[in-house]
Amino acid sequence: MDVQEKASVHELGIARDICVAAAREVRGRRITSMTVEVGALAGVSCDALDFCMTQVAIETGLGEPVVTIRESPAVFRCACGREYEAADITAPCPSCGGYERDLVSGADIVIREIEYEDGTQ
Amino acid sequence: MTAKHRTARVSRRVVPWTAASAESNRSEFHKRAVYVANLIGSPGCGKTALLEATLRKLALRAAVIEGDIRTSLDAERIRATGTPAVQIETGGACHLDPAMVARAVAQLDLSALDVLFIENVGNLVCPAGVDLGEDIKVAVTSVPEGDEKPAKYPALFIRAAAVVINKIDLLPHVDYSLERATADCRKVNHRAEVFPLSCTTGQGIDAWVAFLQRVSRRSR
Repeated sequence: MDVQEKASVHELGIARDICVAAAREVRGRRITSMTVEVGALAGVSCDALDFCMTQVAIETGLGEPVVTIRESPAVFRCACGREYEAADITAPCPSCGGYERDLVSGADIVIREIEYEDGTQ
Repeated sequence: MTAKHRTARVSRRVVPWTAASAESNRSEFHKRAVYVANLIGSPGCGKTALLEATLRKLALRAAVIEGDIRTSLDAERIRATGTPAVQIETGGACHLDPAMVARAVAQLDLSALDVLFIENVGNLVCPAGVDLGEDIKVAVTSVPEGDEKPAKYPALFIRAAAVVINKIDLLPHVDYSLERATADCRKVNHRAEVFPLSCTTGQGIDAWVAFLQRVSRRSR
């Protein structure tokens, strides 16, 4: 009754997710470069993702894009109203010194820019 | 005809392939009124021991899905307590995904359950960002690992509704500040409830079990 699965690397699946989203964005046209932001709290290694991205893009038929991956910071909104970027997650709110805060961004993966070939004149 | 290059500034959030599968699990769990806890922690932090200790005291109908890279040793330990268990051997994958969980759930009778525990693959990093369709994530850490884990692995602790600090019976023998670990948990995530406990001595287990009884009842 136990279940045996086949292994895959975590970031490989995320690279596929990014390429699927990018392909939708450009409706199948060839992509020459793209910039992807990975949240500091996304639980993803930028290096491992970078390693997978180009190969997965080729496999997905996007072309051979130059892929730039950059980390985006965790952004919190504090109970005092202050919204701030936290380079150090254990540092308190710069306004009130408290920790009653919620994550606004920094857990997501977002495609910010895509350069693509457009054959239509 | 030469192709023109265009640059599009976009702001497309990447939806992981696992999202639809996680939502399908969640709706199935809710339909059957099964409360689901996803336990995440390092190898050796005592996730299976925590489940054994929990299942002895929990007054709810429970089952366990065990995730490991290899072997069904953990599922055998759970079955020895009289609780149904399904082992997922990931074959090398660093975390469970919701499709694996759905295949394991198919082996269980959800209508006979109040609570389902999913013990993820031992790993503080990769499982944190992957939704399995659970109600809560539980971060499990232990005294011998060191008191800096909440600060070092915020991606997990910020998503955890509860943090278990296991093996507190070893505090006299290890350079570990329970105050620092607890304070860091609260800094990273002020909403998380923190449960220092020992599966060996049983200290703190009652508070953890009471928490599970409380949150799972709220959902039913």
